[in-house]
Amino acid sequence: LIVPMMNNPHHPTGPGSSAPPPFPPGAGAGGPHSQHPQVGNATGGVGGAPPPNNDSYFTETRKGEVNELRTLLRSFDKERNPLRKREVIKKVIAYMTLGIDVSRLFSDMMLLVETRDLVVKKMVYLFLCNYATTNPELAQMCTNTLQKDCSNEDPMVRGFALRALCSLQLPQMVEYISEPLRKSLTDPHGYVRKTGVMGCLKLYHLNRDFADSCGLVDILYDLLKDNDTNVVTNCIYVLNEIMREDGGMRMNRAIMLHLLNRLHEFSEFGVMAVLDLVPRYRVANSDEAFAIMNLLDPLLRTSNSGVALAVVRCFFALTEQTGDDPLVMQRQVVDRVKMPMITLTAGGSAELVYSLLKHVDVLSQRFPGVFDDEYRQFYVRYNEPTHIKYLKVSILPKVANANNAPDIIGELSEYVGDIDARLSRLAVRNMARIACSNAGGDWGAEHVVGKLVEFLDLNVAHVSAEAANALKDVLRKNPSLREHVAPPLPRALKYTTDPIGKASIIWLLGELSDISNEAPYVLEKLIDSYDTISNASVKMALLTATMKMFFKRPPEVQKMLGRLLKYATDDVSTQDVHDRALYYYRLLKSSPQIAEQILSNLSACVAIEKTFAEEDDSDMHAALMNEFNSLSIIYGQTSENFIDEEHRVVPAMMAEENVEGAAASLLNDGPAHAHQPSTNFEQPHPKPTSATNGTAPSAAVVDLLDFGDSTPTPAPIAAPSNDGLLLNPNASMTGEAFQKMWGEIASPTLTDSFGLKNLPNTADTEGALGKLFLNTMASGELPTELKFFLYAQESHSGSYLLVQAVISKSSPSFSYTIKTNATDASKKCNSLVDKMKSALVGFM
Amino acid sequence: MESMFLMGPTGEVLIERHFRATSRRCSRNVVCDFYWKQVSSQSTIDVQDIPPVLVAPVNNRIGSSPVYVISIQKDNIFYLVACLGEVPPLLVIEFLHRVASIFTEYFGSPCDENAIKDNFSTVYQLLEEMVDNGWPLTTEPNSLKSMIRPPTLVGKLEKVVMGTQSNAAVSESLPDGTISNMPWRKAGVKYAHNEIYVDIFEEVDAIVDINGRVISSDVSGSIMVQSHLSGVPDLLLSFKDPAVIDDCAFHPCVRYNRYERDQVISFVPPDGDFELMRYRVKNASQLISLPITCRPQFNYSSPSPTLSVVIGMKAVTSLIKSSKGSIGVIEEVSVTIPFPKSVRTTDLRVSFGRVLYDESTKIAKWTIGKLDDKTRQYDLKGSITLTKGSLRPEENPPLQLTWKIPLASVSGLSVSGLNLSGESYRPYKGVRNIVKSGKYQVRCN
Repeated sequence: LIVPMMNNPHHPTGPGSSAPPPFPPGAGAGGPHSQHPQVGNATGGVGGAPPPNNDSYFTETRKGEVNELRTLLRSFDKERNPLRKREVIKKVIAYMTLGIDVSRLFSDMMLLVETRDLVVKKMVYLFLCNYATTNPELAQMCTNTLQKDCSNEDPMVRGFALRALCSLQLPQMVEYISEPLRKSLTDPHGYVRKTGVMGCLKLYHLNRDFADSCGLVDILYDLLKDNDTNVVTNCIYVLNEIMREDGGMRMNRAIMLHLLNRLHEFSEFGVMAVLDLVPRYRVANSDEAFAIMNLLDPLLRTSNSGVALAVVRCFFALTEQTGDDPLVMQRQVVDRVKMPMITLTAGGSAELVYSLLKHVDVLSQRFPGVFDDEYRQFYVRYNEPTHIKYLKVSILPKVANANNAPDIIGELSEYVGDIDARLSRLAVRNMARIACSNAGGDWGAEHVVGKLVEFLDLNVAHVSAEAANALKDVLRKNPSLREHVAPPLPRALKYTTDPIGKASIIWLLGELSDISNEAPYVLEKLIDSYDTISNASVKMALLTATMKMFFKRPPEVQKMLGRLLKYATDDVSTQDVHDRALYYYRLLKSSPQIAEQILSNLSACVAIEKTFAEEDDSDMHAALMNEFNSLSIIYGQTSENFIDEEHRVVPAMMAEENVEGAAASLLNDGPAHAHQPSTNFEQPHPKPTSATNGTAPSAAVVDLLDFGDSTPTPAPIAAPSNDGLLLNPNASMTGEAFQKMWGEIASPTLTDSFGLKNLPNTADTEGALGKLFLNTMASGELPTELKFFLYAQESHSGSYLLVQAVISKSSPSFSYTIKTNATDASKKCNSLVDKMKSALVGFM
Repeated sequence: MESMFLMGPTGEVLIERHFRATSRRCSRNVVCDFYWKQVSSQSTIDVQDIPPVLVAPVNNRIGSSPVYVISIQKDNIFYLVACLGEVPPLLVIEFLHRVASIFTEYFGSPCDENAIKDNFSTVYQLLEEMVDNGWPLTTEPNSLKSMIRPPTLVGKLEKVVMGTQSNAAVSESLPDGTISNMPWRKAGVKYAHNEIYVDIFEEVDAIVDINGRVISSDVSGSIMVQSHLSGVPDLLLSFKDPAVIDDCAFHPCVRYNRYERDQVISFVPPDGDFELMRYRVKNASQLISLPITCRPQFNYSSPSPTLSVVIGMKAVTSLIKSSKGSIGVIEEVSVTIPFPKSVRTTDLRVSFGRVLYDESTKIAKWTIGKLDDKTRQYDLKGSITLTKGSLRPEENPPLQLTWKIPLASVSGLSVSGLNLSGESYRPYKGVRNIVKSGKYQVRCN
C-alpha cells in the first residue's frame, strides 16, 4: 500500500496551526484522529500543537499507521530538525517493541543508516539487527555503510557499527565481517576492542571453520594481556564459550596468575568472570592454594553477593587441592564466610535473600553446626515473600542444637497458627525434624512431642493432620516417647478429617495398642463403618494397625479383625486394599508366628543417629559443593539433572603443568617463574608452543599481597636489567650466613634514606622488593617502624648485597644500610638503590 | 543470559531484548506468558511471592529444553532474564538489580511503567552498553553516564515547553575512559563547590511479642555517601570506635586490605550517590532497647469484636546521640495493621494522627507522625465486623511499625575524620547519623 506523498504531516500548514494534520487517504481506515499518534505534529512555533503524548507510542495501533510511518520515513531528507527525525525512528522502534511487525519498513530504515546523528544511527542499527534474518538480501546491502562506519574516526561509531555488523546473524556475511573485526582487535580504543572480542564469538557461531581458520583464538589469548580489563573480561567470556565442549577456556599458570594479580582492576562482573576460572585451576602446591585464598579473602567484603559467593566457590575448589582433609578445610571456609553471608542477607533484596538462603540451606546440612549461633536470622517475618518464609522454616531445624532448641521450637510453634496453611504445616513438619534428628537433645524431643500432641488437639484440620503425621515419624525414630503420644489419639481420630492425618493416627494406634486401652474400641467403630471410608490409605492403615493390635491383644481384636478382613477382601474399589487383606489372611492362615514376625519387623525403628533413607541427601550435598554458586543450589540438584545436554558444561581442570620451579612458594620467590618455560602466555595447546615470548609474563611476577591498594603497581622490572647489576633470581641464603657476612663486612657501603608518602605494610614492601630479586631474610613490625633484612646475589660473580632497611611509621621514610662483598661496590649499591626506589615508587 | 524482558504491572511487555542467536527459544511467548501465568496464579495480592528463579517448560517445535527465568521486581516492573544453561543465579540477580538502579538513576524514582515508556529508547541504548551477547559489560553508572547522557532537567523542561524530546542524547564523543584501575570513577569530574555528605543509617529489625518482650532484634547499618568532588579525590574515613562493627560489606571502591589492617576506610569515591558500606552491629540485641512500646489487643470472642492499640514512647537511654541535647523526638511513626481475611470492615478511631483502612487489602495504616511526649499515650480503638458466616479468626497477623530517630545511633559508630588527599581543594563535609526501623513487627498473639 503506497501512500501518496502529499499532505505530509511533517509540514504543518503554517505556524500556529493546531489542527491535526490531514491523514493520507487510505491510512488508518478512517479511524478517529485521536488514535493517530501525533508524530511530527509539533510545530515548534508559538502556540503550536500540544506536545506529543508519549503514551501514544504504546497505544493500540492499526495497520495504517505502519504505512503512515513509511511516509514519514520517506520524507526524512526534507526534515531538518534532528529531534523530530529521532521521534519518527523512535516510533518505529516502539512498534517493534510492541511486537507489531514493522519489517515492511526495512528498506526505508536502511536508507537512514547514513546519518551523523548517533541516536538515530543506534536505533537504526537496533532495527537492522532485529529484522536482518527476515530480510537477508536487503541487509546485505547495508554492509557497505556498516563497513565504512567501522573505520569512522569516532570510536563510539566504530564500536556500534562493528557490533551491528556482527549481530546481523547472516552466514553469507562472514567474509565482510572478518576484516573489520580483525582491525578492531588492534584498535587504539578499548571500547572498540571489547566490541571486537564479542564480535569474534558471533563470528564463531556463524561459521566455526572460518573462525578457526582466522586463528581468532590465538589473537584472543593475546588480548588477555590487554590493559583494558573490559577487553580481558570479554576475552574470558568468549574463550570460555568457544571452548565449551572442552570444559571451558584452556588456561595455564601464567594466565591465571596474571588475571589474579590484576583482579582489583576489573569491574564486579569481570571479577566474577575471573573467579569462575579459579575452580578449574590446578595449583602448583598447597602454599599456592593458600596464597590464592588469602588474595581472594578481602573480596568477601564486597557488597556484591555474586562476587562473595564466587569467592566461596573458589575456596571450596582450592581446599580440595591443599592436600589436607577437604571436609575439615571446607568447614573452616564456611566458618569464615558465614558472617559475610549473613551480612549480605541482612541488607539485600528479597531475590538476593532467597538465593543466599538457598546456599545457607545446603551449607547448614553439609556442615552442621556452623550456622547454629545465627539461628535468629532465620526467624520468619510477616511481610516477607512466602517462598522466603518456607525456606527459613526449613532451615531452622538444621541449625538447631541443644542450646537453641527451646527458642527455635517456640518460634516454630508461633508459625503453626499462621493463616498460611502451607507455612503452618511446614512449621509442624520441621518441629518434628528437630525431634527426629534429636538436635535438641532428649529434652528437645520430648518438648516437641508435647507440642505436637497439643496441635493434635487443636482442632484445626491441617494442623492436626500434619501433627499426626509428624508424630508417626518421631515415634519411628524414638520409641521411648510413646507414653506421651498415646492419650490424645482416640479423640483426635474423631475430628481428624484429612485422610493422611487419619491414616497416621490409625498407624499410631496400632503401634501403641499395648498402652492405649481405648485403641481396639475406636478401631472397631471404624471397622464397623468400613463402607463410609473412601480413602485407600486410611483403609490400608486400618488393616495394618488391626493386624498389629491382634498380636498384642488377641482376645479383644480377633473378631473385629475377622470382620475387617472380610470387608476388605470384598472391597472392589481398590485393588491394593483387596490384595493386602488377602495377603494378611493367607499369612495368618499359614502361620500366625511368621505373620507376627513380619509385622513387628515392619515397625522396626530407625536408629537415632541415622536419617530416614528418603531424607539422606549427604551424597547430593557433597556433589552440590562442586556446583556452588549455581542454579544447582537453588534446585537442590546437580546440574546434569536439569540442564539440557546442549547447554551443559562439564568444567575441565587445567592441564597438568610442569611446575618444578613453582614448587617453591609463590610469595617468596615468585620471580623465579619468569624463567620457567611453563610461563607461556599463548594458548595452552597440547601441542608444543613456540617459546617466543620472553618478555611477556609480567604475569608471573606474582605479588599477591599488594592487591587492593589502587596505588599504581610499579612496572615490573625486567629481570635482566642493563645497568650493570644483574641479580640472581634463584638466590638463596641461610640466616646464619647472612649474620656472619653482615658481621664480617665492617663498614657499610652505603647508608641513606628517602621519604615515602604512604606507609606500605610489610607484605607490600617485601612483594615489591621481591620483584627485584631482593629477597627477604627476615622482617618484623615494631610499634614505630617496620624492619627488614634483605639480600640479593649478583648473577655472574655470585657476590652478595645485604640490606638492612627501616621504614619509620611516624614520618614515613625508607632508611637503608647496604653492605656488599662485591667488587665495584658503590656503583652496584647505587644501582640497587635506584631499583628499590623504582619498586617502591607507588608509596613515594 | 539469552534474553531480557521488562514487564509492566499489567503484564504488558515493555522492553524485549534478545542477546544471542540461540535466544529464539526464549521468545516472548515462552518466557513472558509463562511468567505472567505465575504472577496471576498467586492467590495473594502480594506479587512478591514469585520465587526469583523459575523454570518455564518448553515444548515447541524447536526443542524441549527448559528455559530458566530469573526475575526481580522493582517499582512494579518485572525484570526478567531467560537462560538456557547453568549460570550463577546471584550474578544475574545482582545484574538485574544493577540495571534497575541505573534506570532509576537515569529516569528518576520511582522508575515505573511510565518512566520506562517515556524513555524506552534510552533503555535500549543502556542495555546495548550493559550487555553484549548475553554477558554483562559496562555496569558502572559513572562510565555509562559519560557514554549516554541521562535525561536532564533542562531536557525535560524543553520537552514540556517546546514539545520536543531531547533526552536520549548521546554524548558527542566517547568518554576519555575511566581512570585506570578505577572502573567506577570517570575522569575529568569538575565541581565549583566540592562537597561530600555521609549518612550513617542504622536500621533496627525486631520481632516483639504481645507483651512487649523482644523475640529477636538486630541492627544493620549502611553508610550512604553523596560525593561531589572534583578530580581524583582519595578519601580516608576513620571511625571513633570501629570495634562496634561486627561484619561489613564494602563498595568495590574501598581498599579492603586497608580496612583489615587499620579499620579505616580508604577509597576513591565514584561520582554521585552510592552505598559505601553495609555493616552489622556487634551485640545488637543487647545494645538496643526499643524506643517505642506497642500494645495491641484484639478481642474476637465477644459478639462485636474490638481492637485497641496503644503506642507509647520510652526513654531511649541506649541510643547514642550524635549531637548535644537529648533525644526527644521520634519521627515518621506509623503502624500498619493487617487484618485476617474473614474481617469485612473496621471502624477505627485514633487519639492522634489519622488512620486509613483499605477494604480490598484489609490493611489499616495509622500515621501518627511525631512522638515527643514520653508521658502521653497514643491509642487506636475500634470495632471489627466479620464477614457473615465466617469463623472468628484465632489470631491476627503481626503489626508493623515504622519510625525514625534523627541524629542518633544504636552502635555509637561515628566518624572521627574524613581526610582528603590527592587534591588541593578543601571540600565541604557533612556527616549525619539516623536510626530507623527496619523490619519491625509486633505480634498480636
